[in-house]
Amino acid sequence: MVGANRILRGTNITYVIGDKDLSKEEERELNLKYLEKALEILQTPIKEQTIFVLG
Amino acid sequence: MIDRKIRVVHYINQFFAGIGGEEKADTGFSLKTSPTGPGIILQNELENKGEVVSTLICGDNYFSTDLEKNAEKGFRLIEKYKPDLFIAGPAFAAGRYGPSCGAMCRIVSERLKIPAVTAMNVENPGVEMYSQHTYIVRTGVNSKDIPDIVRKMVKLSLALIENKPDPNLVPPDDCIPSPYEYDYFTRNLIRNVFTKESTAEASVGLLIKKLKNEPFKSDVVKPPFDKIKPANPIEDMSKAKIAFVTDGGIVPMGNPDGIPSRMSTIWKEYVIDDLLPMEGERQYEVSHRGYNNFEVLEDYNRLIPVDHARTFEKQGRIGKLNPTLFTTCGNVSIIKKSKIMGEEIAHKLLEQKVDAVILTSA
Repeated sequence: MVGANRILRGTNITYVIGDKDLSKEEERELNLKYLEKALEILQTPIKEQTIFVLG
Repeated sequence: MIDRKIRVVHYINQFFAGIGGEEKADTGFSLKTSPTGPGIILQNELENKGEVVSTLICGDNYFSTDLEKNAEKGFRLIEKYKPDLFIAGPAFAAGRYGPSCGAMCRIVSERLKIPAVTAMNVENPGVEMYSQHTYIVRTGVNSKDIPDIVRKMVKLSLALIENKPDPNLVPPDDCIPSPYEYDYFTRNLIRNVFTKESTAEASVGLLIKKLKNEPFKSDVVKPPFDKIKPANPIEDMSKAKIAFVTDGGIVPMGNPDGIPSRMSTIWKEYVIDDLLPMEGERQYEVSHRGYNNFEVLEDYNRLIPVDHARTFEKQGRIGKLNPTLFTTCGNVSIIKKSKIMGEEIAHKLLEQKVDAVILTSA
């Protein structure tokens, strides 16, 4: 994403924060982790464009 | 071509005019009717082809406090000299001087329909701001290079005034000097070029070179990505207002606002609870032909984690979830246009006192 500084890498291109191989509950859990991570990143000081990964 | 001496007006700052350094940067506009500072080199380089009829001078701080307003002021001061050519700088990497030169060149060339040329270092913010609006010759950072740079500026200026068609280019845009030959920042003007080979032949040729690890020059220049200063982190998430923005093309059923599924130049704002209700029938569809929409149509949370965000809001883990979602389709988008959309959305977000944004992409 051009110009975005805090980047969280998703699972894939067509649905960035999902995983069809997981059960519904597990996918919901993964979704939760992504949101938690995004909020954590928003609270993280950075100096330049940084790519974060889950886990 | 002009069959008399070219009338040149030159813009410089207080430093190059010899008024003073930082302590004089608040000095307002003044005019001289003779070549001044680098203008003397400019006059030498023009030889008998042109004459510097006026030098416009302004302090860096004074000008840069309001670029547009001061460009207008400067323009009114020099208009009466009826220039055939406007030169500004060179500004090297000077962060206030560069944008001032760019703003002056832009207004003069747009209003008087004459060529305007300045020169800057790639790091100068003026390059990003004005390279599409005026001719900016590339420079290093050292002002001892002024003679060489002025020579390049004059060479480009004369080519612009001569306005000679390039036989390789297709009319009507066939008189633009090559940014590579004349060493200026490309203006992103796309021109049609006659080539010996067909596109198919040329493409396969390039591909073969690439596969053989031979050097090749692509026809497509990657657009430069802006470096933007990261925002400060959120200090207290329990008080923060969080908004979702997406380029994944989520729109209300039937796409009532007609967001295009490719090359979109529009964005829309929708109420999350209407667009993505937690219960009942699906109210959204996806307008985006750049990815298979199947999984997102099954569950919007796979693109935007809205349901958990709603829970977080109830639990007080975030202060507030912005009730509206900003959406567009980011598929083969034009960067220039996307920047404008981004600014428009950012403006709305600020209006709605949003503290942080989660931008999701597909």
